[in-house]
Amino acid sequence: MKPRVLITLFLASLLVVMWGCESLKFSRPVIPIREYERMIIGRLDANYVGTQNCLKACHYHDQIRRDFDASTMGAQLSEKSGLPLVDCESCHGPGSLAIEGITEERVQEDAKRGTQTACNYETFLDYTSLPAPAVSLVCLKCHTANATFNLHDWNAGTHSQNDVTCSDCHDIHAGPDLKVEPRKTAQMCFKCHPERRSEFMLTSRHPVMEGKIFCTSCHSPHGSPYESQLKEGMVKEICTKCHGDKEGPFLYEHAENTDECGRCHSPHGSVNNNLLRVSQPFLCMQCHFAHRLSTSAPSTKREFFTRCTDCHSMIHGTDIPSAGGVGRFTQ
Amino acid sequence: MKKSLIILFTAFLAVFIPWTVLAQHTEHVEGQLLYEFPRIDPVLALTGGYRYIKTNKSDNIPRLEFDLVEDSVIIGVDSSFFRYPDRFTLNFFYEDRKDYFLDVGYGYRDLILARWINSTIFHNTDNIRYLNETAIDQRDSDANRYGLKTGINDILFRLKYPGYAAHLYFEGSMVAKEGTIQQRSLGGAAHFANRIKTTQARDIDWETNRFTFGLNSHLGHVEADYAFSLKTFDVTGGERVLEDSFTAGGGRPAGDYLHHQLSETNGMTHTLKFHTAYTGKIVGAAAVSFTQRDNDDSDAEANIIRANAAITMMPRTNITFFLKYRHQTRDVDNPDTFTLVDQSGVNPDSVLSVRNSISSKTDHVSLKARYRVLPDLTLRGGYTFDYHRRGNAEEWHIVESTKKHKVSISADTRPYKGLKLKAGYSFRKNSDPAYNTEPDDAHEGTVSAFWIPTPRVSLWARYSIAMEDREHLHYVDSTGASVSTEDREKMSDNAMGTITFLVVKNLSVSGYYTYMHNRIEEDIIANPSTGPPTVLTDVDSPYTDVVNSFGGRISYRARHDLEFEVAASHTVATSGFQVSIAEATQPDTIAQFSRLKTRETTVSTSGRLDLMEGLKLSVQYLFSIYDDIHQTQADADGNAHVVMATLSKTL
Repeated sequence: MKPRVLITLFLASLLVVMWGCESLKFSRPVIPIREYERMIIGRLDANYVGTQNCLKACHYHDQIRRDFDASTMGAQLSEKSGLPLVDCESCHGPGSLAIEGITEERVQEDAKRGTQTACNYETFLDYTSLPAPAVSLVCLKCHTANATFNLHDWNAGTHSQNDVTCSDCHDIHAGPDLKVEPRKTAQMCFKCHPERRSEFMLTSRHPVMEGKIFCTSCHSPHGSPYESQLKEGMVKEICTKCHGDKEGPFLYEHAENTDECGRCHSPHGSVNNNLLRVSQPFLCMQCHFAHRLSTSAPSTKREFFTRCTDCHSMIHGTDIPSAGGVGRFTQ
Repeated sequence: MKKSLIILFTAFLAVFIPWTVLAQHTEHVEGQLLYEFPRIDPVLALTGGYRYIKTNKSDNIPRLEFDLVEDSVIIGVDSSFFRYPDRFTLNFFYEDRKDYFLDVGYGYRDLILARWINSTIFHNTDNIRYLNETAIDQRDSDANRYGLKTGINDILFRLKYPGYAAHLYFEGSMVAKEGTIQQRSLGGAAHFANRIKTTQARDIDWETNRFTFGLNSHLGHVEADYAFSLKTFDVTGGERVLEDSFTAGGGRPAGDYLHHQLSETNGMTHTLKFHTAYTGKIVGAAAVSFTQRDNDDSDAEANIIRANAAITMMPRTNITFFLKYRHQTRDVDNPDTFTLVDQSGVNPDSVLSVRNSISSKTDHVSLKARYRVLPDLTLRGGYTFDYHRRGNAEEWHIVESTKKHKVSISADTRPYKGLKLKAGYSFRKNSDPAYNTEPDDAHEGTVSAFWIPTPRVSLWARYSIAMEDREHLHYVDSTGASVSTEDREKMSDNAMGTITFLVVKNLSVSGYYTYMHNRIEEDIIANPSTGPPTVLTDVDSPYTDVVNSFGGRISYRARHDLEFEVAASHTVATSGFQVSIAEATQPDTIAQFSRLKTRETTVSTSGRLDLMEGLKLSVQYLFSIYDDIHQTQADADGNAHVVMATLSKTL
C-alpha cells in the first residue's frame, strides 16, 4: 500500500479514536517510579483545602495567584467538577497543615506589630531536598498526559542526564507567561554555560548578547536526538533557517563540508572574521594545496595569501562551474 | 498527498471549531458558579526615549556590528489582558527602523494558543578594500556602507480538543533578508592566466519560509505526532544572478556569462513521532522523517531519511541508562551535465560534465549511564559509536567510510555546603578520518569549581583542554594527484573565572578573566607555479589564536528608587600562522597578510531612578574603542559613544 494511503488511513483512524475510547485518555507510565511518586505526594496526614482557602487569610501570594490564573495552566478547568485542574496544591502538596492556625485576625495583628505571619510551609514539599528526576516528575505527571511534544526527547536528553530540572529554567511564579521570554534565555543559559558568554563577547559573534537572536534559535533546551541538543539533524539545516542562500543542494558542493558548517565556523563566537574557527588562508590550507608560492612579486603573494574567498567566493556551493569547467567555487 | 492532508485537516477543523465554541463553560453547574476567576486588571506599560550614537573613524567597530548607526527614537510597549477565557500579552521594543522586537500571544482557555515572535536585526557587513594588488577592479568605494536587515518571524497556532489531549498545530518560520552587501568575484578570464579581483555592491532581497502543519494526540500508552513541513528559499528582489564579460581562459571562450547565482530551493518533510509516558522507569521515544529538497535552478536534489530512537531505563533510582540510536541516509542526485551558455550568443552552448555529490549513510549509537553514588556525588559515563559511509568516494578522493568511537566519564560533587566541583574527560578515536581537520585521536578534559566561602563572596573557575593528533594528512591537487604528508597536532585550552563580592547589602563588585588559546601545527602543501606539480612542504607550520579578556562590574542600589551600575572590559586578541621555507618568506612572509592583533575596550554605565506616580527614568551610556593593529579587518578601527535615555510608565 502506498505510504500516503497508509498515512491518510492512520490520521483518519486517529480522529475516530479521539471521539471515543475513554481509556486512551489516561497516561500510563511503563513501570511507575514508586520511590519518587512517594516523595512528591506530600504529607499523607494533610488534606487538600483548595487555592482559595490557602490564600484567604493572608494576601502575601495574591499576585502569584493572579499570575497563575492568567496562565495556560490556570485556564484549565475540569469538565466534570468545574474546578481548576492545576492549583497550588498540585505541586506543593496538600495544604491543610500549612494553614492550620492561620486566621485573618492573626494576620492583621501580626501586621500591626510589623511582622509577616508565616504559614507552616515546612509541611509542603521541600523541592531543595528532592532528587532532580523527582522534581521534574511533578511537572511530567501532567505534561505526559497532555501530549506536550516539546518534551519528546527530554528523558534521554543532555539536560535530563545532567540533573537539570524544569524549575531550573521555568519560574512559573514569575508571571503569567510560563515560557521563558526569548530575550532572557541567554542570561539564564549562561548560569550553567558561562564559557559561552565569553565566546559571545568575541569580536565576531552571533548577536545573542544583544538579545537579537536566542539560544533557543538553534538549541532545543528540552532535549534532542542530535549533538549539543541542536534542533535539526544536520547543522546546516539550523544555520540555513537564517542563511538560506547556502542550503542547496547545489551542483557543485564543497564535499561534505556544506552539511557541517561547524567544520569551518564557530557558531558562538570567534576572534576571526565571519565566525571562522581559523583565519584564512590557513583555514583552507589545512586541507588544500596553496597556489603560487614561488612567485616573487609581493602583490601576487598578497593576492593569493590574504583570503582564499576573495576568488573562491561561492565556497558554500554553487550551480555554476568555474572557468575551468569544474567546481572551484569562483563563479 | 497534499490534497489528502488538506481535506483531512479541513474536516478536522470543521468538527473541532464548532465543538470548541459550543463547549460549555464548565465553571457553571445548574446555574451555580463553582469557580470564580479572580479579577485581573489589564496592564499597560509604555516606554519612550532616544538613542544617540556618535562614532569616530569607523561605523564598523565590532561592538556596533548589529546596530544601525543612526540616532533614533526608542519605543516600548508591554501589555497584558486577562479576562477568562481570553488571555492576551504583548511585548514590543523598537530600537530603530531596522531593529525591533515583538512578542504577542493570545490564549483562549486551554483550547487555542497563538504566538508570534518577531526579531528584526540590522547587521553591518564588511567593505573589503584590496591594497597593493595589481589586478583589481573595485566598482564600489570605501564610502559604501553595507548592511542587511533580517526579519525573523516565528509563529505558533495551536488548537486543542476540549477535554482530550489532541492538538492541531501550525508553526511558521519566516526569515526575510534585504539590504546591500559587497559581492567579491573574479573578472578577466576568472582563471589563473587573467584574473581580476572584483568588488561591487549587490542588492539582496530573499526569504526562507518554513511552514509546518501537525497533529498529535495522547493514545493510552503512547503519544503520537505527525507533522508535514514545507520549506522554500525564494529570491524576491535584488540581483538574483550577476552577468559579466569574460576573456578566454581555462578552456572557456570569451563571452558573457552568468555567475554568483542565488539558487531557489524548495523541500518538504514528513515526520512521525511516538513516545511512551515520560514518568516511568522505562521511557521510549522514536521518530522517523522523510525529507526531499530540490534546487529549482539546477535540478539537484537530496532525499534524506532519518530515524532515531531513545530509551531511558531506571532499574534503581540511583542508576539510569540512556540508549540512543539514530540513522541518516542522504541520497544526493545531480544532473550529469551543465550547459554553459554565452549570454551574448556569440559562442555555441557547451555541455560540461558534473561530478555527483557525495551521498552518505550514518549510524550513531550511544549508551550512557548516570550513577548517583551518594546524594552529593554523581558519576556519568558513556560510549558513542558513529559509522559514516560515503557514496562516490573514489571520485572525490576520500575514504569510503569512517568509524568514530568516543568514551567519556564525568563526576560532579558537593563535598560540603557552598562548594560544587565538576570534572570530565573524553577520548575519541577515529578510524580513516576523511578530512585533514579530523583527528585520529582526541583527548578532552574539563574541571570547574563554584565556591561560596562566605555569604558575601562567590567564586567560579573553569579550565578545559583538548588535544588532537593526526598522522598521514592527505591532499589532492587540481590534476587529481594525491600527496600525503606527516602529522597534525591541535591543542586548545581555555581558562576562565569570576569573583563577586557583596561589599554591603546594596553594593556588589564582580570581576572576570577569560583566556582562550588554540594552536595547530600542520604540514602545509603548496604548488609553486603552473608547471608540473611539485610539492613544497612547510613542516609543522603553526597557527595560533589567543584571547585575553578581563573586566569588572559595580552595582549599587543607593535607595529603593535609585540604582547604578558601571562595567568595563578589555580584550586583546591575536591570530596568525608562521612559515619558514624560503618560497613562503621571500621577499616577504605570506603570514603577514592574515595576522591579526586587536584591542577592544568597552565601558558602560547605567542608572535607574523611580520618579513620582510610577514613572521610571533610565539612562545608559556605552563607550567602545577598537584598534585593529595590523589593519587586517575591513574598516573596523574606531570608537563609539552610545547614549540611551528612556522614560517608562505603567498605566
